Amino acid sequence: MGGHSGGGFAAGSPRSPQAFERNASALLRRFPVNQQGLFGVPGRGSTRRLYSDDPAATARYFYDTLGRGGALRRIDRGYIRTFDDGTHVTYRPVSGSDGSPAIQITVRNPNSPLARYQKIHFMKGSDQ
Amino acid sequence: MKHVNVTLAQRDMSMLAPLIGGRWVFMAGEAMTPHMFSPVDVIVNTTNGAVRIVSETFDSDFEGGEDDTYARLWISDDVSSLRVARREGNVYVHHRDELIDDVLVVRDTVSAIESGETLWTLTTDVAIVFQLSGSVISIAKGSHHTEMLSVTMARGLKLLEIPDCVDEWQDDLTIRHESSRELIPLATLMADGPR
Repeated sequence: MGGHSGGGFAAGSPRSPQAFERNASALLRRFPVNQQGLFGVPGRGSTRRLYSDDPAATARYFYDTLGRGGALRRIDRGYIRTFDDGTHVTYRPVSGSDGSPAIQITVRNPNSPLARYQKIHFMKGSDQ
Repeated sequence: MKHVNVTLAQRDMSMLAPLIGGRWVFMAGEAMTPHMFSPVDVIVNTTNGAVRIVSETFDSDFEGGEDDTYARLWISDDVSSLRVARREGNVYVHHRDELIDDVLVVRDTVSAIESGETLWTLTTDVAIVFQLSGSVISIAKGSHHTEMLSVTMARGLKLLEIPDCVDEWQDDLTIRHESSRELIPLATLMADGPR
């Protein structure tokens, strides 16, 4: 197939897929994923929940760590960071569904330890 | 079974139709990267006018449980953000001056199936394809769940790759996800009316 969507990726660029994987490694040191590459615990349905004492700060940490170096654009009620291969992270401090902070992670690299897509709501409390 | 339709409105299609017969000038996006990913929107400029292809998100619980976020394509004639795209250097002139022979819509249907029973179906327009005199350019959802758009170019329709992104849904032991695709000329959709 001959379709294309741009050229190769500069490994040294902060927007490179490699840079995103470094970001992911840094995040994984504090927040492990399950075998499917998903953070937190299952919510009701397909979304995930991640409990902590300070959900706003935890969500912000996720966004700052994973999105570091990605091209920034404002979106409705939040921000998106894009990497060269199309991997992207969205962050909404107040989600439209239940008001909790929410992060969506969409990963292009099939070898990433993170799932292809996940949406995480950050909640106060413990999952125990 | 829940069936959700997230497809272009007649109003959207009526903004795309006049571009046929014009010549491609450029595409642009406020944060469009050299690798052709553009969150939220892509501006298409032709000699027959300019439109903005927009991906916006909405929340829905059609899968059951908590809301997830889904992307919807629509068309705007407000291209005022071109100013920002120009300032940021995000204007791309690939295939300039090629004639726009046709516009087509890629419509995917994603289904979740458990024990042979369909739990839900999402029918959604995922890409707008411009068939040019020497190439094709598609502006597609880069995700079913976010505002990301992805631009892909090829020498012909048969060579065009638009991922179905069905792997954004995780299969498990009981539930699997399937995706099917239609490539529909804009004129056909406009003549058919809402499906």
